[in-house]
Amino acid sequence: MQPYILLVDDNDDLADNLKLILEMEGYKIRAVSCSAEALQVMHDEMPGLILADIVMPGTNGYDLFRQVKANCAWASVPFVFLSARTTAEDVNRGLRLGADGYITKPFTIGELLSMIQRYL
Amino acid sequence: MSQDFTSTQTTTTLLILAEIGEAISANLPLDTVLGRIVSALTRLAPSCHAVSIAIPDAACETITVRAAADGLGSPRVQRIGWICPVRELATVQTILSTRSLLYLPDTTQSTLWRSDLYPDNTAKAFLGVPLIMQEAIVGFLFIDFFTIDPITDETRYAVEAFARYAAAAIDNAQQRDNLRHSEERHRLVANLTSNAIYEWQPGSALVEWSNDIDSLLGYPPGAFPRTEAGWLAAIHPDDREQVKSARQAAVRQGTLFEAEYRMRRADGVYCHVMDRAALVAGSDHIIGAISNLTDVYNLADALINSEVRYRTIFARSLQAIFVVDKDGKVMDVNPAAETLTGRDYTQLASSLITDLALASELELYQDMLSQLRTQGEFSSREMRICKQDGSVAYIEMWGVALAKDVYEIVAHDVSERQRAQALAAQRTAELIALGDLTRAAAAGGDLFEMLQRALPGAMGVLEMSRGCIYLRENNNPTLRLTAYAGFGPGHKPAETLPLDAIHHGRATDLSPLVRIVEQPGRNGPDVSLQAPLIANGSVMGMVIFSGRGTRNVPFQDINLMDSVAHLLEIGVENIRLLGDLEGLVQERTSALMASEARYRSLIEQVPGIVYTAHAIYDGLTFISSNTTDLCGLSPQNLMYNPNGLLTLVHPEDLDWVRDQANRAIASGQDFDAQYRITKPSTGTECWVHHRARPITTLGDQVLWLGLLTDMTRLKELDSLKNQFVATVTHELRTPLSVIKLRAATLRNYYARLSDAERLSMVERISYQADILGALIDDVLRLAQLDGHSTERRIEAVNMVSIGGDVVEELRPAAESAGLSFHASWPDGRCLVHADASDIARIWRNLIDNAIKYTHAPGSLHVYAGCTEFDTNGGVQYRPSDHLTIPPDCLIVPSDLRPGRWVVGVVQDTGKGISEDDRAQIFTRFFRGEAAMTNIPGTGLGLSLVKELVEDYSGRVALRSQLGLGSTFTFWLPAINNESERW
Repeated sequence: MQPYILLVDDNDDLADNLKLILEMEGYKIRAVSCSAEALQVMHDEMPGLILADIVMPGTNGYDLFRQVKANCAWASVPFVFLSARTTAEDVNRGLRLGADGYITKPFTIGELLSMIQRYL
Repeated sequence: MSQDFTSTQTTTTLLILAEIGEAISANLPLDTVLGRIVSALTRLAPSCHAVSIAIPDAACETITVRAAADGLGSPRVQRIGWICPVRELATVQTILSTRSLLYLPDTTQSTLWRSDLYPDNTAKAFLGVPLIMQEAIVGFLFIDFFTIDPITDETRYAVEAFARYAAAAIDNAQQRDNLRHSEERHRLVANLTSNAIYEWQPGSALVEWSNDIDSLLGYPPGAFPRTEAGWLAAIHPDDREQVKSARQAAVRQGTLFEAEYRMRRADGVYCHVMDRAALVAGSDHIIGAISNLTDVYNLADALINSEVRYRTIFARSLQAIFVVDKDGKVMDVNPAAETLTGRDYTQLASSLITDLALASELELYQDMLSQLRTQGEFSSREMRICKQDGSVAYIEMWGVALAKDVYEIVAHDVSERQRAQALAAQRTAELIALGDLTRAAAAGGDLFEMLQRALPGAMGVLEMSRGCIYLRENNNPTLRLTAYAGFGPGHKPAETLPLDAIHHGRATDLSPLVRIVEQPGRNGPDVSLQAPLIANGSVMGMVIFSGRGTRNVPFQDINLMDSVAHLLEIGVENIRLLGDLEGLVQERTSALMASEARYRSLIEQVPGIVYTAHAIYDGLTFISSNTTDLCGLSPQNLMYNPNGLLTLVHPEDLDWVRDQANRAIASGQDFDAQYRITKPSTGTECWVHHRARPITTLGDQVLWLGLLTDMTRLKELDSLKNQFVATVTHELRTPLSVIKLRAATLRNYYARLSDAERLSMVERISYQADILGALIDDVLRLAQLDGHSTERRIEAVNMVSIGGDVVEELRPAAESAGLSFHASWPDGRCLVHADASDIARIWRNLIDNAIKYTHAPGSLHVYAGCTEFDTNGGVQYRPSDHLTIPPDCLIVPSDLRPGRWVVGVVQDTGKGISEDDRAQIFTRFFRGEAAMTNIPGTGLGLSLVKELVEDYSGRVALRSQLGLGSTFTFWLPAINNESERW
């Protein structure tokens, strides 16, 4: 069974649109709007890739990353940040944490798809 | 003052000792020599109180002071001749028993010292020295000091040297006395023993002797045999026959018999006798007398020895010695006397000592002779002597009786000393006068006063009675009288002189400038010295001195005139320069003061610490007074703490700041750094901008001029700005990314999308574009407020209706967030003068904020109304107001003015604002905990509200409780004429 992509973003508008595109591209996708929801979903089923925003209400993206990587079962799941924080400092911080990728908003569909193809 | 004989005085000491040695060898009277010794000692030891020399009697039971001088070297006459028993003098007893020098460094501490013996003695220290000659103490040298100082080796050596000389002098005198005494004794003995008388008839066996024969030959009275045989037996065998035959011959011829022969004394020793006898006229008896010649022989030996010694001294002495009789007739002179007088032996031997006297001093000479005659001694006295060539020599003379009516007069030539003293006195006077002149010239002040002051000094130097100074005015060919002195009342020198007067008179070989003018005066001829005063190569004046009578102007005076003129030139030039300088100084001072004032006021205005120092962090020379605010230390504290500034630097910045400062100092380049410092008082951190620049001051000393400015606020703003930029960027990117993604989806997947999906895409794009627009609007609005370039349409607007529109606009968002949303509006209008869009923005930002920070199932309440506020009664409600605002929602700002106000209230039941955040909630870019909780926003909303409200002279107030919600109230001035209608 094809693993699903877990999208964590508080911007519903963006999430809706991404879901639409990725489904059209043949991916399975589940979109949640906060970290707590994401962790819940992951308990149900391990995703094949996590795309997560950083600036979110509640637990932010960095903390979500730490919690995911701290769990042995999930540690191997590729984690890609998807953020409007675009300075080099932000990107480096994300990558230094150990993230597998960092996509800055706004992004092109090509950028997103090539990142997904790298891990799925 | 020290009682040292300083090393520079060693030479003087030696010279004085040499003189004293000479005086001793010249057999000067003992008291004269000792007087010189004590006087010399006082002069050599500056802290000397008194010096005396005492001589003990033969049994050493008393001492007699023979010489005494006070601290200035003058004789202490009342002390001389003082006799004191040795048993009363513990000091002398000590010296006698130890036979060595006794030093009492502090007389008050000494048990040996008895000050009551010396009622006039206030000595603080005492030095007693035994005068020892051939192992016998012949005298004592006492020195009293009026200070308590340690005695140095040098002092001791000098004192001991003088002591040796004093001992030698005493011994010499005593030997002379002894000699004189023995001569007298022998004479007496000779007189007594010369008359052993005998009477004898030649052929008779018996001889009649006077008793003197027994004593002459050492027999008990009557023991010498009174026989011819006994007599002959006593005669030395070698002489016996000769005596016998000589006497027979004399008897036979009836002539005087005289013979010297030896006779055996009772003790067996032969003695010389002189036997003189004669035939008694008219009888065959002879009467003779025998006298003992042994003592006479010994006496002759002694006399010869003494004479030889005397002759040696006499001939070899450098002092002139005259031997004169009681009338002053010269009997003998030594070579030195010939030299002194310029006369030879024969000339002198036939003259009187008084012939050598100057007419004016004849009495002195006669006095000397009379003293010699009556006292046998004449003390040293300074007098003059006429030389053969008519010149005069200065001498010191003293005399002593050699024998009855025979006197020795010693003359010591002191002409050289006299000349040197006279010359020294003259030089001293000249120097003093020149010194006065120099001081007068250097004192500056008024030119005329200076010259007038200087003139008497200059006249004194040159021994001239009149002086005048002419100065040249403005390069005129005329010299004008400036100062004059010595002219009698009613007399005055010429008011002006032609410039060429400086060439008048006779030129001198010694100075190219000084000239001598001789002219007839009222009381005989006058002589004048004149010299031009020259400055910068041109004549600026002339100085003239004149005195009465022609005189041979000595070369010293020409030189002095040169010096005087030169000094006056300097004085005049000094005053002129000083005048210029004073003007310059005044000008510079006022400029400096102005610049100093400017500098000070500049420093006062500089917002930060200004300092100067030898290095960037060290050696502060100046620091402005405002240090406490910035770094928490007073200026004094920084001034006197080395590296005061450096100790404040934050530990994390210290290393690089110090490196950078050292590099700047090494290269002389400007220093510029921004770093943190920690205030020692509070421990708070702040940011400073530190700039320093090397400046070269007078004397090439490099000072650093430094400036420290507080940039904490700047750094905070900077940090807020960075946060803002990040936030704005993020907030702008979020809608932008949605728009881009939607647009890309439409483009890439257009064919696969349903019509409904395409429409939704476009609507979402439009919605996000609106958000983006509002956001941009916010930022722009703020920027406009900052620049005050807002173009507003101010009109009477109804805050209630605008609020209503905004509430409806935001109601969907509130409801979608699960919040209940209520608005309570008054019936009437609440009019304010404002731009409608600003009022809408105030409402929108407050309500939007409430929605964002309130979680479901919370609620929002919006109120508006109009009310009156006065200072006494607080808020007044009017019955007609139909005010819907609950009293507990109406928050009155502390600084609200009395008057009519339109009030808007937005209340939520959200998470509330912490006390810390409340203080900054209206600060631009501040987002409080939102920054952590990631609630979207720019941090501009509330600050924009506040700035807008206050721009319309209104006030914003806030009440909040964490976890329970917040209430924002804004007050805007109501329009009065409108107010009646609601």
